[in-house]
Amino acid sequence: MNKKVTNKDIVLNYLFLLIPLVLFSCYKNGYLLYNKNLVTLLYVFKPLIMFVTSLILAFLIELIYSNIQKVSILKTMANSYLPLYGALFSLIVPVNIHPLLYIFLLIIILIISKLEFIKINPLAFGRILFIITSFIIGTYTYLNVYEENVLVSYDLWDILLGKSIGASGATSIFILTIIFFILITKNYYKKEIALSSFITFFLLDITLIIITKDLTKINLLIDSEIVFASILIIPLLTKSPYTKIGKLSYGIITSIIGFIISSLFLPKEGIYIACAISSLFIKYFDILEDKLPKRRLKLCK
Amino acid sequence: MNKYINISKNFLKKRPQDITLKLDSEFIYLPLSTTSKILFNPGKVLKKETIIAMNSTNIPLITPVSGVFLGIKEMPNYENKNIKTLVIKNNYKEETNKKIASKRNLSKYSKEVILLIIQRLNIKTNKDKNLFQEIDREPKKIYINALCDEVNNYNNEFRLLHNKDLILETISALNTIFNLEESDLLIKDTSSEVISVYKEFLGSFPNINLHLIKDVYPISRYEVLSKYLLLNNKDLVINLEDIYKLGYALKRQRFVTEKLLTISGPVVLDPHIYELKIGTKLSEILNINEIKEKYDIWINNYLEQNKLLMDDLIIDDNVNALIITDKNLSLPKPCNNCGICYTSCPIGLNPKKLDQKEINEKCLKCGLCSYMCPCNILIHKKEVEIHE
Repeated sequence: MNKKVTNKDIVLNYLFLLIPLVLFSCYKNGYLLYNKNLVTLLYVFKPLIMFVTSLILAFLIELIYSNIQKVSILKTMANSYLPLYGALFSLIVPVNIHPLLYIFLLIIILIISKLEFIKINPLAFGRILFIITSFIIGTYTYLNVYEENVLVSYDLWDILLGKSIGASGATSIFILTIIFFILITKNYYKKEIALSSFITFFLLDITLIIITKDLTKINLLIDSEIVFASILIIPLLTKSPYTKIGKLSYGIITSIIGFIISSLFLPKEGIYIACAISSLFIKYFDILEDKLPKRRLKLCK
Repeated sequence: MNKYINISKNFLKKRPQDITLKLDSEFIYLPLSTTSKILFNPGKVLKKETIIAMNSTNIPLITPVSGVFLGIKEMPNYENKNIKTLVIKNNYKEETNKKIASKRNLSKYSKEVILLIIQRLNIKTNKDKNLFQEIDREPKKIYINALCDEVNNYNNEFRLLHNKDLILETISALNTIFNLEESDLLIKDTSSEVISVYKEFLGSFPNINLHLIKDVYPISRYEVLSKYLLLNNKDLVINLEDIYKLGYALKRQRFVTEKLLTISGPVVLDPHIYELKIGTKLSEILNINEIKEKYDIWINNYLEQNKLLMDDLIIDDNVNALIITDKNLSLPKPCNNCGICYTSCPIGLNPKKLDQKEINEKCLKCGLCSYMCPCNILIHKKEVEIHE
């Protein structure tokens, strides 16, 4: 908490924290399938290849940018968040995404995040782009090769440990929880957003269960996509509010919108669509703090 | 969760070995306030400790040396502004007015005399309130602030070690004369030498407590300290240097004409604490231009980022330390909206709104927001926008 952090420290910290998710994805979407002779040995490392590709592309885009701006690539890279955006994007797309589509989407979100005047959360936007393009080309699915061929039924433990269906690196609630507990010790992590977002989603889901008396609605809550987005996407450092009230209200409103979309239309995508919408209004969430009366602590007796 | 930030571990500490006396300044420059009335004409030979000017609130300006009063000259101060100063050429005779014997027991002073001296010394308490007014309102407790925010400023530590008898005696006398229950001497819990020395002596002063404070930034500021110690209006905080000045005036019946100046920093091989005449110009101690070619010189506190820009500097009461560092060549990057500046502000202000007058006025200018900023933006140096 006391240490001064640089942009480089922040990005490296995040990247190290994401590595367990990548390795788990290699295990779940690669090793287990390889054991069943469903994929080749190279396919086992596909999540890792996607992760490394995103870092290389981020570097190349920064290299082009620094050449245009005529500044040192080392200085540009030291303050670049593109590797983080790229790495996160590799985890929120399905593992069986077509490589060309992946690279195309990756380039778009890296360019968008480099353009400072575009305020949208690049990862949420990337996810929406993925939904649209994969619907168009008819490949919208989060199932891996094994899941495509069998009917799966998971219990709570399977879901918590990460055997459920989901994006490449966003299935293990267990690892995500550990990442969250590490992140809340960092002064740059906007934990208020993560907590308010998840708690709101939890309360809304409980309310829905009570109203509809339908226990299957609990699936919305224990969806690892919701947890992943709440921990890593909605509180994205550079694309979220920074004031206390702003952070809390951003988390709450994103969750409310996300819950409505998730429960009515797209269970896995609602929170990303909500994040993309609310990230357009970050400035207004920060202004909220000035509008609301402040709680003051009177120190002098 | 504890919001206080300890930054001292992030800096290389350079502790001076001892105090170096440097009391032979050729010229003395005494900053003149706009309301001051000069009592002598240029050319007059003045004795040491002569009242050379008096401001509208009867605060005297004292000559720290004997010599010829040359007149008024503009010289640079700690804010990098040229201000009017009275110039005295030292004749090195140290002539003073009639010598008065030292007072043995400070507790024998009357309340009225103490109040008069406090007023003359212009001692402040609790964020620029006048001590002579506040102490008469029956305070409950006095806190002696011996804390310092700059990691490499050892003035208070050396003052505590070299003048412990005078300091303890003065605090004890204040307790007796103003019927205070007790007083706390606030020391950082990392000052191990001071703590061990004072532990031995405090047994003789039962109404003085040694209060160890966490080494957090910027704890020496009243706004932060009062929040940390949950002080109320009846508690008074007095700076250690003011207690020393008061004790010196009571004991010796003379004004303090010297001050301590730490010159240190990560690039300094031989850090020094100088004892100087108040009003000495810095160029008499350091070759400023040569240093400024290779390094940056920061006045008082590195984090406040008050850089020495002028060719010289008058060492007055506002200059306590000079921190020399390598030149900072890293350029600020665009804000990444991380909010670290906001979460690290010790008084909970939003540093991104420092262009608003109301927030800028409350800002302590401690520089913690700028220091913590991952993008190296000098946030606390933001000026107020002028609104019609």
